[in-house]
Amino acid sequence: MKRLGVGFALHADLDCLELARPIIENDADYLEVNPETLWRQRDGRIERNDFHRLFREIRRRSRKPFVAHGLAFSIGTPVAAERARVRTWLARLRDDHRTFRFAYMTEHLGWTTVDGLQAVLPLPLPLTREAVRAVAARMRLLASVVPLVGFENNATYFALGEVAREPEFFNAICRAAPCGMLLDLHNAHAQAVNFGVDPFEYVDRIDLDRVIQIHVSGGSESEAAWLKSRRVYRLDSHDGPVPERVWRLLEHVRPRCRNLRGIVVERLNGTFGAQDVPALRDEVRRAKEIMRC
Amino acid sequence: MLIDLQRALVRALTSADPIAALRRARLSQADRALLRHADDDGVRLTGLIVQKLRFERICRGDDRMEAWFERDGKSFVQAFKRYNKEVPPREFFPRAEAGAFWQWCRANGFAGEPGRADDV
Repeated sequence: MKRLGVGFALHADLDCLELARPIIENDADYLEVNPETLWRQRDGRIERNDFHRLFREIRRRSRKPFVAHGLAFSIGTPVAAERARVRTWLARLRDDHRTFRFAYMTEHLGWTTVDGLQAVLPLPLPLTREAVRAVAARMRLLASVVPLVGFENNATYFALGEVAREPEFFNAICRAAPCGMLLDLHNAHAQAVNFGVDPFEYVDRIDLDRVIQIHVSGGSESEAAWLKSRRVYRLDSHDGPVPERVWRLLEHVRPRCRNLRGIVVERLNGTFGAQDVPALRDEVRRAKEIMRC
Repeated sequence: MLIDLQRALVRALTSADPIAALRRARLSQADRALLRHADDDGVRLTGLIVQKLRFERICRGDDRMEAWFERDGKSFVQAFKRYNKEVPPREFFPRAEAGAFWQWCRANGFAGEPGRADDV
């Protein structure tokens, strides 16, 4: 098992790349990219966009490993419902893997599309055997492109089962498919806040030997005015500093994740300026300290 | 079946009233039982976020859409609300969504930047 260290999420955004340049060049041990942001649609075909070339150049110059974090393979949608789209996605991912030689690839656990309708946001799955089979089939397809793959626990605002039972669902997927897991600790924190579960108990019930990567990030709260009830939810928005509770979760799980390759610090483009870069660098350094444990 | 539940959910979450759409959906008893876990506020919030992501795809997909929004946010939002209600979201890529929005605006009398539409 090759340990990568602490990575940073790259965004296809020139301003963000420039702002984060010190982290990308000096602090990050590896870089995480969203393959779909390196594609464009032209005349009905999906092809490389200009960021593809730029990211290839970053990889060449930095000599840092790249990992892929997919946005829209929609791993909870049964393959039979969209075979053409699956073929297109896999062909593009193959092309990206040839270029970037991803150390591994992860995807969001959920589904974003069905019948051509695009929710874009990963939506919750029922915690059923049928859903386990659907995800496992997709993970096998991804593994035919990038040998080491994983799924990421999601933050959702409604559920189709008991949220406290989600860890058993994750473990069942890991047993059904040759895959690992990307444990997103802010998402676990958000599930705990939104559904009233204990985040430490939640992560303790996950088979942590299957965790290949951890995400840490910040988030924010929805505005009370958005809902008539004025109820507020914790959002998976990657738009703020990593909360202390997420750091505590990281310290808690890190020693038990025996097959962990790396930790990625996520921060969405457009949500930080030059004045925030020193604090972001500190987050990467703090993650490194914990990664070494 | 999973696919039936997903079809009902995606149609509901991309509609103006997700809760009403879910109530109308024809689903098996087993799927209805799964939906009973879904809290109405959470479903509504998810629908709002799905809309917000579409709005952002349009603004990100074409600088002129963003400029229109900054110049005259009220008319842009008005156009978006009608577009979102009338056109199901089928585009994943921001540029394609922005192009579809612009074509719809031209066909429906919401011209943000007259004379430059053909460049989209």
